[in-house]
Amino acid sequence: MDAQLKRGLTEACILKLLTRGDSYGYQLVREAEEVLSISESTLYPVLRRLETSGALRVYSIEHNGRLRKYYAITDEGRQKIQAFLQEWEAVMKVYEFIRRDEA
Amino acid sequence: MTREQFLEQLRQALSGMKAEELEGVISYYDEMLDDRMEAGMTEEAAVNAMEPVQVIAARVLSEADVEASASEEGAAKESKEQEIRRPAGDIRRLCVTAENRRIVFRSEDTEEIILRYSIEENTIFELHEDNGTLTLECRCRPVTSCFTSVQNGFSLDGLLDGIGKFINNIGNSIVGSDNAPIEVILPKVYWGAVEAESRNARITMEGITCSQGITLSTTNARVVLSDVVAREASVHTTNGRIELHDVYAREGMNAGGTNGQIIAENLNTDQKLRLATTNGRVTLDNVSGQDIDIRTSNGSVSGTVHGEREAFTIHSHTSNAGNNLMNREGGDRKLNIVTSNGAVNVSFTGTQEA
Repeated sequence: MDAQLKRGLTEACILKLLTRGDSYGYQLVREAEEVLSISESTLYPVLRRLETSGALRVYSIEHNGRLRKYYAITDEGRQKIQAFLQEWEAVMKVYEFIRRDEA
Repeated sequence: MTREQFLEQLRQALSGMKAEELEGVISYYDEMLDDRMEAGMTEEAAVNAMEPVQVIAARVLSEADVEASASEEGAAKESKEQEIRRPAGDIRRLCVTAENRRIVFRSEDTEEIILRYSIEENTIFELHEDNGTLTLECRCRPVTSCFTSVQNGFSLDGLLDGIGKFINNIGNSIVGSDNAPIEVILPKVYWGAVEAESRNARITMEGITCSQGITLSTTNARVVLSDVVAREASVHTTNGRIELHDVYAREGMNAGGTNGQIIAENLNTDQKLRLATTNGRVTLDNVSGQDIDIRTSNGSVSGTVHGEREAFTIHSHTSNAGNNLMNREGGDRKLNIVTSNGAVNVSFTGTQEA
């Protein structure tokens, strides 16, 4: 899959996973596997970008004597999911157009 | 490898990063290892579950580059007009190849070869100079790589933008004329050879005199020459028209293609003239040559050939249409005309010398 395409989809998936509740890196990698396989090194920049753009916020909780980073979706992140869905309507139209009459 | 070794190697591999960024990456992997071990893996298994350090570093660094360069990109979009100048005497052969971009040749009072073009984000230009040959090559980036210029993170505007470019590129590869042309300026008399190859875009050449050959080819577009002199000339296109106005190619002229008409006006060679197409008509106006060979199908051949009819040995053939040329032997020049489903209607200019 095209790297940029995958990046966009990964970001949307991570946000969607966070609508189920706050989560941390390892759990996100495992949960994301149900829809698309991502590695730690793919997830890291995705989380960074989502944080930078305000779609999620990060906090740390002490866990077994260490700090674990948790990620929480923001209102902005929820809006992005909606925007994703709307924009993909347009993408799907293009897809249908391209696919039409192809074998 | 132990986790300490792994983290240290990662730290080394990322040593060029800003310290704050670097610590972010390290603590992220530190936590990943902790969580895997907590889930029951041994330290070694947890480390082995990670991608190789080089892979991680490459990805993290390339992402960092993307973030850093996103802001520079706007500036880089401006001022991409290029002008290349070379002393014409140094270049014996000039080659221009372009994808989806018109090539325009003209001449000026100059002693240089001047190439002008504008770099757009979906194209790659390469210039080579090797042993008297100057080559300019213009390629389109692969259509899929439109997406690499999407930097807006998740906002799917970026992705849509990429898809927009994707569609544009598909369009360009069909139309190709929206791009600014590559302009090639030669001296009034150029002592060398010229070659140009384009795809999906027109080639035009006006007011050019070359001591060597001219070779032009394109697809899905026309080739237009006017006021051109060369030792020999070869012009080819598919699905496009060929127009030759006031062209003199001393040692031979070969123009052809498929699915396009040929218009030849004041076309002259001392040797062989070959005009060949399919599914297009051939129109002649004062065409001259020692050995003229004209072929098409599903199109007519009409117009005038320079000289007296008696000077030619004539072979002509068509089917399903009229033919006004009477075949004859005994001329010291040759005229062959073959078509099908089209009329042959050719006359001679007579003796008046042009």
